[in-house]
Amino acid sequence: MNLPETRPLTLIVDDDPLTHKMLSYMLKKDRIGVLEAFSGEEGIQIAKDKLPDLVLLDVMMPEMDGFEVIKRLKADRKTAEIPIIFLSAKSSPSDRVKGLELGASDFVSKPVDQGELLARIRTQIKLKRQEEALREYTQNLEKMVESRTRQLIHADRLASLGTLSAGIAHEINNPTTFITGNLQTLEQFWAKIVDYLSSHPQAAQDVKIQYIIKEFPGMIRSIRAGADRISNIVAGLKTFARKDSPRKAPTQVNELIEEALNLTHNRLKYYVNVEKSLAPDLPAIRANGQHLVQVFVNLMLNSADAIGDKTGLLKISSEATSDGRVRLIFSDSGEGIPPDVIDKIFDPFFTTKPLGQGTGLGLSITHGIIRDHEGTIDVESTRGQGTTFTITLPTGKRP
Amino acid sequence: MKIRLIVVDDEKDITDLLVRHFAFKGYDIVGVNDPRQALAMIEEENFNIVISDIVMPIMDGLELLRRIKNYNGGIQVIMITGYVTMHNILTAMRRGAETVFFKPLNNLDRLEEAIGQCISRIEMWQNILRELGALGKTGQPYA
Repeated sequence: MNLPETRPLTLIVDDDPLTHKMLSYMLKKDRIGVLEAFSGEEGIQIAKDKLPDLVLLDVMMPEMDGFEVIKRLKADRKTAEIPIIFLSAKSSPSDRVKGLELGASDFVSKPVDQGELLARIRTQIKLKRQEEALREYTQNLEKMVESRTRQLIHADRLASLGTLSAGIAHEINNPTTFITGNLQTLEQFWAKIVDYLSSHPQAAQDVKIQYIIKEFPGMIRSIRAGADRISNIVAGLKTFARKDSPRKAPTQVNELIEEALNLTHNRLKYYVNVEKSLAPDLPAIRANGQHLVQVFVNLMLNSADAIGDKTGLLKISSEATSDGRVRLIFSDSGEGIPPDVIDKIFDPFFTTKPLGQGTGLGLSITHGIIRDHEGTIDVESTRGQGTTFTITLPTGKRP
Repeated sequence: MKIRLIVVDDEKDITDLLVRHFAFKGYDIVGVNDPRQALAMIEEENFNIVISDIVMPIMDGLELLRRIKNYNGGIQVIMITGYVTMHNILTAMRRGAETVFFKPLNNLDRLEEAIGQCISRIEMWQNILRELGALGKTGQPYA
């Protein structure tokens, strides 16, 4: 059988120098690395430090016998997994049982037969390596399952959000109408009352009446702002649902980028320098132009927010890839996205903006639109340096 | 001839608020929550302008629109809706609605403008008919 690629390391723990000489010789001939300890205490120390692949342990040692060594090695998490082959005298079957019960993996009787020893060593080392591989694989598998489950839950939530939102949007619009509609009537009524009050001198004297007259318009504005915000979220949700199947047509993506730049010009002009490198002769993609413009506007506005009020750079590039897709890169020099948050940015309603600014739907809608176009969107970010979004879209042409 | 409006929506809060808002401004306006009742009233009395929701139980607004135009093409119909789909909008347009407003009604002033345009249109046709001498004393054309 073959030994694993990396040279295995064996620790010999025995108080007898002669045994050491013999065993080292055997092991080195077979190209197995050797560490030597002449007492139980020394053996435990070296085992902890060097973490050998295997320990060859003599039972009969002064001060600390082999059984004690086995117990101590198995009790320490660092060394517990190291297989132990102990060397027992032929005339002690009870020794062998005791050793195995304490956790040794195997035993060899003294005097040691070279062939037998090497065979047992190789087996143990192989077993150990296999166990390590299995453990790593299981951990990896668990991580993959966890990640996949999260993805599925996320997709499921998005899907149900889509289903809910068409109905909910409609449901919310009605009661919102009670608010905004009546509010406008209230403004009319109030104008009439204020008019009436102003012709009554008593009203001017009453502190509380004056206070009401002063505060009323602001309250109306605030109620109105609340209702408007609700409407915006609903409107965002409706885009999310997209019940009307959007039509796709062959589209030049560079034109859409220019359109988005036009739309966001006012927001970008003060602090954002835009650098474009758009490849000419890009293949056309099948797309809903309006939706993709929405995506680009979303990314541009986010970059503007990230750059804030210290002049920064937004680089936009487009190119054809070697596998028949179009790649778009939006890279800004803004404040970046912290690592603990970057996994959530495509979640609906997730936002780092202060209360009241932004609905948290922009990137989740963007993600949905890109998926709808059978594209991919990825994000990379470094806090304090900037964020890069990479989008790829299929052209329908095989390379 | 006084212009009369009727609002149709299955939600009483909505018919109430629209009646309240426009009555205060001086319009002659009533609200009805059952579209079948609305149709009956339109056929019995004189209404010039109908404001109607689209999604309603029993009879939806687009069906109501169709029947009103069938009865009297001169009646102006404004649709209001919370359920915005391309299909609904196109159907409303094809069946002769004057315009469509989306809920929540953020801007009732624009609704009032639309009502104003409807009134202008009605008065224009009335003038034309008057010129032709086709109007009887009731203000209704001969059947």
